Amino acid sequence: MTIDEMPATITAAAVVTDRADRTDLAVDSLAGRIQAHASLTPDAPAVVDGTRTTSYAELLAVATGSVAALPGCTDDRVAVVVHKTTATVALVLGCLVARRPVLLLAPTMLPERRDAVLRDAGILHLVDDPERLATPGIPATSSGPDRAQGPASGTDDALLLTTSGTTGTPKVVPLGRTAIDRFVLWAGEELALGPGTTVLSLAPLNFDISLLDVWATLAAGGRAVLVPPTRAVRGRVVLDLLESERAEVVQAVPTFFRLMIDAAAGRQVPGVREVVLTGEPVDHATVAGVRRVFPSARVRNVYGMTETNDSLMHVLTGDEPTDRPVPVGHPLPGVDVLVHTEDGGYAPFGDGELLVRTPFQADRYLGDRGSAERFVTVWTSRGSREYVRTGDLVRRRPGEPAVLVGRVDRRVKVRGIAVDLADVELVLEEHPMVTAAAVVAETDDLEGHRLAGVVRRSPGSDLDLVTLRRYCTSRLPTGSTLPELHLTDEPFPLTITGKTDRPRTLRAARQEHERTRHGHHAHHL
Amino acid sequence: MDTTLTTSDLVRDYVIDEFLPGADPEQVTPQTDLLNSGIIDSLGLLKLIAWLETRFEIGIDDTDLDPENFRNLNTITAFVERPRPTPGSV
Repeated sequence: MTIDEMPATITAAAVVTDRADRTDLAVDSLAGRIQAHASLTPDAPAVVDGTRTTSYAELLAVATGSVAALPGCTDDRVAVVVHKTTATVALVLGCLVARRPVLLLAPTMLPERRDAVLRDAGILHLVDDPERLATPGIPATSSGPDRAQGPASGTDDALLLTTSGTTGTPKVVPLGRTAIDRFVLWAGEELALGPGTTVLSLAPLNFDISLLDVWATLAAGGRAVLVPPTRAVRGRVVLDLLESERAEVVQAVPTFFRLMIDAAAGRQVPGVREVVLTGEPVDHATVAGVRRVFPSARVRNVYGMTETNDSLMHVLTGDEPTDRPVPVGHPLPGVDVLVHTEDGGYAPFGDGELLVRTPFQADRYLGDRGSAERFVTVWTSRGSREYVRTGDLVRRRPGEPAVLVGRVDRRVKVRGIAVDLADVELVLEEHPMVTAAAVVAETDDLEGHRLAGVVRRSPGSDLDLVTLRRYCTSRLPTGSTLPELHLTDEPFPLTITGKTDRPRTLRAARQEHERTRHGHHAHHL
Repeated sequence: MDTTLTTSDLVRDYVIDEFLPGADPEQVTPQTDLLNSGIIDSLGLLKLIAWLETRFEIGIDDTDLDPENFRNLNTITAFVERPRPTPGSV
C-alpha cells in the first residue's frame, strides 16, 4: 500500500504500526478509558438495557464485584455465555480491568460444541448467567470439561471470540489488549464517538462487531443501547428505538437493515448520522434503501473478519456503478493488503485471494488448530510479514476501490454468519440413514443467502423430514440450518466430469415436491 | 375457503408449506416443539408472526414476543384465540 491511498483520517499515530512495536505503544487501554469516565463523569449514562440505564460508575462497580466473584486464579481464562444484558457487559469489563482473558460464548451455541471450545481454549470456569454473578451468594458458574490446559499467564490475550465454524469445533480467536485498544481508538475517531454519543447495538455480544457498537462507544464515553436478539429482527421496533433513544450511529449486517427498510414504508430517521454496513457483501438495492431511511447519514461499507477486525472501508457516495458489486473500498490506516494472484505471486493489486494484515488482528487460533492455513507469512520487499488469508476473491486496481468477486471455497454468508456448504453436506452425510447430500446456496433478498438441501436416503431407510431437521438442529449452528430440505431415494444427477450436479439435483427435488404436493392436495379434495 | 379447518390446522399447513416443504402433515403434531426442533428459527418466527397478524387480523406487539407463545401448534392456537382488544380500541 502506498501512502496516497490511505484515507485522509489518520489522526492517531498509534494505529499506524508494525508487529515489532506493538508492545510499547502509548495507546490508552480500553479498560483504562472506561475507568477514567467512571471517575470523571460517574453519572454519565453508559449502557441502556430495556428501561434501565446504567451509569459509568455503576457499571464499573458491578464490573469489579462480578469479577471478584469469579472462581479460579486471577489469571485463569474464563468463559461467559453472553446474554445481551448490562450484567454481561459489566462482567466482560471486569475481566478487562482485571486483565483476565475472557471467552465470549453465544447463548445459542450447542452444549457439545461449547464443551469442545472450552477444552480447546483450556478453560475451566464457565459463567452461564452473568446476571446471577452480580447477586452475591448464588452460584452462577459451572465447571468446564476435564482435560483443560493450564492458565493463560503471560499472554496479551484480552477477549477470546469464536469463528462461526459450521461443523466441528469453532476456532477461538484471541484478540490482544493492544489490538483492541487500537481498534476502539480508530473506530471512535472515525465515527466521532464521544461523551453522549448514542450507538445502537443490534448484534450479539459475542460478534466482533460489538467491539465497535459497545466497546468503542464505552471507550469514548458514549451510551450503548443494547437491543436483545428478539427485538433486533423487528424492523419497526428498531426504527422506534433509533428515534426514541436518539441514536447517532448504527452498525449491522445487511439483513437487519433490510428488515428496517421493509418496516419503514416511507418513514425516515434523520437523527442517525453514521450507518455502517458490515459482515457480508451488500447489494445496491439495500444501499439505496438505507439512504432513503437514513437521509442524513454517511453510509459505509466495512469489510473485515473476526481474525483481523475491520480491514477495508468504502464510504458510499450514491454514485457507485450498479453493474458491478458494491465496493469494499480501501484499506484502513495501518492496514496492509496483498492479492494472491493466479500465477502464485503476491502483489498489492490484481485479481485473486485477498490477504490482509491489520493493527487489530489476532496472530493465531487458540490451541493452534487451523492456524497454519489462516495465518501465513509472506516475503515482500519489506521483509517477511504475517498476513491473514481471507478466502475472499478480490479485484483491486490502483486508484479504484476494491470489490469482492467470490470465494476460494464454498463458504457463503447467511445473515452475516459464515456457512461452508461443504461442511453442511458432511454433517448431513454423517447421519447413518443418509447416503449423499447436496447443498446449494441461493441469493436471498433478506438473509443474503438461503440454503436448500437434498438428501438421499440409504436404501430401505424410513428417515423423515422432521427427524432429519431435528438432527440438523443438533449438529449445525444457527444460520446453517437448512430452511428447505428434500428427501429422495434416487441417485443424484452427475456433471460430465462425474461430480454431483447440485443445481440439477435441487431442481429435480423441487419438481418432485411440486408433483407430490399437487397429488396430496388432489387427494384431499 | 374450507371453513371447517381449525386454527391449529391452518397454522400447521402454513408451517409445513413455509418451513417443512414436503413433510407429511401427520409428523407435525399439536405438541411438536417447533422452536427446539429447528423447524422455526428467529427469522422464521418473525415470518410466522407476520403471517398470524395478517391471517387472523390480530395485532402482535413486543410484549407478546415471548417464544413460549409460539412453541407448538397448541400454544400458537391459544395465543391466536386469546381475547384481545379489537383493533383501534387502544
